[in-house]
Amino acid sequence: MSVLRVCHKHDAERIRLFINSQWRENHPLALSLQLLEWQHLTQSTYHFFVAEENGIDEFAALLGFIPTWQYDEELRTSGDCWAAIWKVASHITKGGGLGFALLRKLLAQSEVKSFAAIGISSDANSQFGALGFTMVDKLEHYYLQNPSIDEYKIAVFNTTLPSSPMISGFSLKKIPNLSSGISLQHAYRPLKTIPYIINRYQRHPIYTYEFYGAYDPLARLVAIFVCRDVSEAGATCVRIVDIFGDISSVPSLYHPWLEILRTKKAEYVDVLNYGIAPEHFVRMGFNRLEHDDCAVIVPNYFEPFVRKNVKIEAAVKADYDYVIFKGDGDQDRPNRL
Amino acid sequence: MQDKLLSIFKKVFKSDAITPDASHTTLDNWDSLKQLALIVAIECDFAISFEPEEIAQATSFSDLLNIIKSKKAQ
Repeated sequence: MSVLRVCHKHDAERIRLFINSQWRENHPLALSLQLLEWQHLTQSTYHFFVAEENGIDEFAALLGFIPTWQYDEELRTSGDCWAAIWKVASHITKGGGLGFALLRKLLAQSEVKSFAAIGISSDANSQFGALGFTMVDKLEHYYLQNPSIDEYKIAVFNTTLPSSPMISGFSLKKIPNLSSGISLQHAYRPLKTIPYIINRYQRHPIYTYEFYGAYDPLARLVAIFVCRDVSEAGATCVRIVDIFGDISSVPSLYHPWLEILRTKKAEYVDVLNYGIAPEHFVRMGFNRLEHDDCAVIVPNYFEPFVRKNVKIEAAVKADYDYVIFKGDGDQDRPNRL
Repeated sequence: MQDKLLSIFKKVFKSDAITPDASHTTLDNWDSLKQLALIVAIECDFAISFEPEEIAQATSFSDLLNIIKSKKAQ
């Protein structure tokens, strides 16, 4: 007999034990209660649905989720959620459909209005399609190369550099400290707010993020790029994990990005996205990565580092045009502590 | 009702040898993907909707048949 239920604060130890034994030993969410609470605890509720079997202390299955209101209570009415860890215990060898049952349980919650699973396996695509998810596709990956690097240790660029785009009147300026007083609306959905960006990124318990504002020629802020520097083998790259605001009218930012890359001696800046037309990124000076072309490699996995192009696939159940960035869900979560 | 369910099982498991005593202990390839395919096909063909707990507990042909009968009787 299976019981399906949401977790509460007193379940923390059982959640951590399950993740440690069933997902991966020394997983950051098992090691760090602070990270677990920051990502999944709201008031006294842990955002995990679990299946329990009679007489067995260990959970039979677990589905973690991250609602946008985890980072701003004002977003609760939007009802947008992302999947996180989703695992059926190894002693549940076949049948039962516990993982599927947990997903159904989550989707049946009245406050859940949209749901996305980012970073799903290719095998799972058909499952999500059968469940009526509206989008099962890969995220596009864009990059802007720093040509001043002598030897690339993270990326591979065996191509001729494209010609430099024109200089535009737009600029990029670092915003050292985001404050809730910033007046800027987000043009994409799931809806996000400045407090969301502050709580999700500026107050991250482990990672350090930087914020670059894109300003038009009249010095008006039109978008905020949320970035994280990633280092490997003594080299650095800049990863844009989220964009807040509206980039639909942003012209080339090639030269401002290049200046940042040169200052940091970073190999490139990249961004993963689904839902925004590629021409907006190309116009800003980015190139679209061809995942199957080995001439250009822009890695996505760093903990541990894998020097390969990686397709990140996602499934979405939403009744609106959905936009995904790497920072959504738990794709930009520490993978080792 | 039983014949219709049996037909769904044969289609999902790609086998004509399926019998009404099938369960996850007798069918080696009854994994979560098959469970999903079964549930989706049954919901579509019988015009019913499973509760999450019913999905979690249905591990045999007879379990599923009983759930369908119960829902159709409502």
